[in-house]
Amino acid sequence: MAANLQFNILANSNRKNSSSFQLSPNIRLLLIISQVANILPLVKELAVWFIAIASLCVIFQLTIHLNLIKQPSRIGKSIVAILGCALLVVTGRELGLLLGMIHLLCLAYLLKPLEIRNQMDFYQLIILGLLLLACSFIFQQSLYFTLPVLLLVIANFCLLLRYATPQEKWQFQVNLTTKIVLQSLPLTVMLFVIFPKIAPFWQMPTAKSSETGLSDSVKVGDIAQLALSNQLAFRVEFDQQVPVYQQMYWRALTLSDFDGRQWTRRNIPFSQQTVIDQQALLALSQKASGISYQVIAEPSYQYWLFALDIGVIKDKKAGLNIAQLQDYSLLAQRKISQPVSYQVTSYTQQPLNLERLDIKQYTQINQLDNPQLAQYAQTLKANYPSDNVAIIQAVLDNFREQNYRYTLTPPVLTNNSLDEFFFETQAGFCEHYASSFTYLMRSAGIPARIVLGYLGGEYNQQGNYYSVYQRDAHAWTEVWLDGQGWLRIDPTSAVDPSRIERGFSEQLMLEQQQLTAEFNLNNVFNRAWLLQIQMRLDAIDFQWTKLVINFSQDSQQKLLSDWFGQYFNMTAILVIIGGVSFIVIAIVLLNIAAKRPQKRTIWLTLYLQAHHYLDKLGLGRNNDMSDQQFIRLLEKNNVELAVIYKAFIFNFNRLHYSSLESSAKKILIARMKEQLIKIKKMV
Amino acid sequence: MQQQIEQVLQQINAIVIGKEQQVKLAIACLLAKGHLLIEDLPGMGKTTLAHVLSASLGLSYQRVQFTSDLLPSDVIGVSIFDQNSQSFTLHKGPLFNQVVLADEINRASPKTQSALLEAMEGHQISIDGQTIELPQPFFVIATQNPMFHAGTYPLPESQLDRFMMKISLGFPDVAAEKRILLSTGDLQGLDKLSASINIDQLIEIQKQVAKVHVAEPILEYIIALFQLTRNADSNVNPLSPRAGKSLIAAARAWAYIEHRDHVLPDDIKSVFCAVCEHRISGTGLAQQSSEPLSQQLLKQVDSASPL
Repeated sequence: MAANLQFNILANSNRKNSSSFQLSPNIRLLLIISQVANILPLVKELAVWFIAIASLCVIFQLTIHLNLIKQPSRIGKSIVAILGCALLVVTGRELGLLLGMIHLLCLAYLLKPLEIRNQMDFYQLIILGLLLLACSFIFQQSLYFTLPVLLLVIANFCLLLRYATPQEKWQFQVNLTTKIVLQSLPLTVMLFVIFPKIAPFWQMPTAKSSETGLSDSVKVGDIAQLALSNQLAFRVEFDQQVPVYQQMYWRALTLSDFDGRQWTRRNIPFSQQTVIDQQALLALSQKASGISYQVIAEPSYQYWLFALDIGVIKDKKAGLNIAQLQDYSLLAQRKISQPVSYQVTSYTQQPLNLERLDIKQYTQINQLDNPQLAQYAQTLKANYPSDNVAIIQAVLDNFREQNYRYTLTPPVLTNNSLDEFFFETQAGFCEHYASSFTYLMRSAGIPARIVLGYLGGEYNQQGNYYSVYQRDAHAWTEVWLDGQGWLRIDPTSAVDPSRIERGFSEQLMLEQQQLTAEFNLNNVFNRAWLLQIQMRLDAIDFQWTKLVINFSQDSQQKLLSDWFGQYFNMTAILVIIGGVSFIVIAIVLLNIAAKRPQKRTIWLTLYLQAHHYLDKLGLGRNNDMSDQQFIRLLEKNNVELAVIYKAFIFNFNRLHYSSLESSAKKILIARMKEQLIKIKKMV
Repeated sequence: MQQQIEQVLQQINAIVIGKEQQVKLAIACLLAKGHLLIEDLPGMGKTTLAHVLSASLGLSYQRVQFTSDLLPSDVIGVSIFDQNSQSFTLHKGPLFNQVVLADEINRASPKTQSALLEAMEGHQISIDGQTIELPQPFFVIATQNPMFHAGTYPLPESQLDRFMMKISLGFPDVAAEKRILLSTGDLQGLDKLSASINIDQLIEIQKQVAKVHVAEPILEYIIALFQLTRNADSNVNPLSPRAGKSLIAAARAWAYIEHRDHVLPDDIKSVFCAVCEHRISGTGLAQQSSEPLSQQLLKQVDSASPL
């Protein structure tokens, strides 16, 4: 029976004692696994050398876990940390601020398990993991990325619960976590919908990511490269009227300068761009009926947006400033670093003649770059004097009749010579044709420019929208005919009409697949149902992008005023949220203040200090020792020290336990300080 | 005043040899107006201690030997019809003394035990509807044999709680035992012992003891200690607020004996085992662990910054 009386209090005090904190091997292993999982979503953004270091870290921890090697010493840990930071500093310039910081975060996250000294450290690690998962959304937000990441978040919660309730079965932990997450969903949705999205706070940081899609200069071969990418560029949802496929020329930008090698456009700051005549645009929109549609563009880290022919942006949105330039292209003020949506009305039947033409800019060319072409242009001009339409027709006929090939793998041209392409190799992709055609037109004195954009799109029946991929990138030419304005001429149509009518021909598709060497499910199971599933998944992702990712300040305002009608008031919501958060913060602060131990008195600090010194000498005082006993212990070691301590503790006792006047206290504190100095010296 | 206490201590220590700590605890218990339970084997000097204590304090003293057939009236007294006066007169029992030694209290039946213990708590006795105040100061020293001895009725926890302290004298050390063996050992000489303190002075001292300053940190220290016993995963009897009051009173008396006007953690540590051990270890079960439970408690709380 006496055994039953044995104390259990020791187990309790262990919890407070941080030095003996130890994670169970089970949790440790799970922690390593969770680390790998939490970093995975970011792996695409991390530098290769960093991934190598990360793998080393994980292997290192595994070996520690398996007791193959010991925990590194403090110095060892410091060296690893400093080395990692040094590497980051060296590569920081290349990575940029955001990526650099994310690398730093990852490094900290990977090294933290080496020094989990108490419960707080463990919690910190879990929170760090969740932060990393949140960071991965800076780079990708598609639904099929979000879902696995959310699962990872739940897995992290499970790990926390596993730590807190080690004796329970894992089924219980998973169930409870799922329950908690589900319970928190309504609040999450509510906050998502009503929490004010004030621009500077809710903007995602712009990652310095590689630009995708079209660039603002093109030389032969560029778009053929782009055509190998199956990446989504943007999606379009038409309101009612849908243009025919052959008319879906999504204009992005025009190029008017040719330096002999590549076509470029002048680099002008956003504020100094020449904007289209708004009056003319307004008149146009009143006169003609247009096709209206919504474009949801994927992040391209560029400024260009897409529209058919003359596109007029309907609603000006906060946070998305789009300028309509004189060349009918749409330019965003900020880089498109996350999906954006905008409503456009296009006037496809109207001539592009709202501007006054600067002939000099569009006919400027150096005849010496491609002398043969220039020569050919002169011949044409002589054959059809002052009949520009005939010249155009002649060139297109030439393309059609001669043995030109449309291919993704054109022969290499020396110096990007258009002459070589036009007269010798005669095989190329759209930019070859557009380039040489434009060059010819200019040589013949007809104002011409290259237009970059996308052609066509893949219709999704389930979602009733079109997806335009990078492989749909296209280049064509616009020539200015007096009285008609800019006229779209696509020389590619002369070479490979099917490209214009249906997209890639079979031959081209085959080329593309060979070049990308991408594992394409369609090749293995060429089944309709698989395509159906793909389409459906894509349709769900489209809704996700449209409704969730694009839920901006405007859509919020619109939604809320739809719900609450006239009672809706953003200020009121701000006030309510401000009030609620004030109350919550106040409660939290009061709680913290109540829990915080009272401020230590000077003498208690001095006392603890003295014992800190004595501890260093190995003269720790047990809790159950009386002053006398402790002084006797000191006497055995150092008589002088014992004498000083005796006086010291006497003063402390009087200060701490008896009621004294403040003047007496001052004297005693002064004495204690002197005695503490003496004790310190002896130690 | 403190000098007189010193003298009393010296007087007692001259007779009860080698038990300074226990004697001091007993005096502290008396000064704190508590009652004392001494648990020990027969022949360890329990009776001597009680006797000397009363004699040196100048208090009236009576010893009651508790046996299994002892009745409550034997302890508190009885009204008897007096033929001469044709009325009931009260024959006061041994309890009407200032120091009562209840010897081997756990040999008596629970009924008698509770009669004594009720008197201890209330400082008064009711006989035949008549309530009589007990003399002041009133100090009960009870002794009991260890529980494993035959023919014992263990005191329940509620009654153990009435005793402020439980001490045990224990075997003397070699030097002390030599002196004990050589001493005459008769208690007759004790009667000649002159009291170095009178009753008024004793009551005055008791009043002063109650005024000894107890600082906030001391209260925190006590609460921290008590909280340990109240934790869900501790399997000792939790300590009650009454135990806390007893602890403070005893610590005050100890501080007073130590010539101080304030209580130090050392005072708590000195009296803690005596005050709390019998409360947390329950119904007098023989403590087989090498270390008392209360000592284990003391080891877990830092007295300077307890909470």
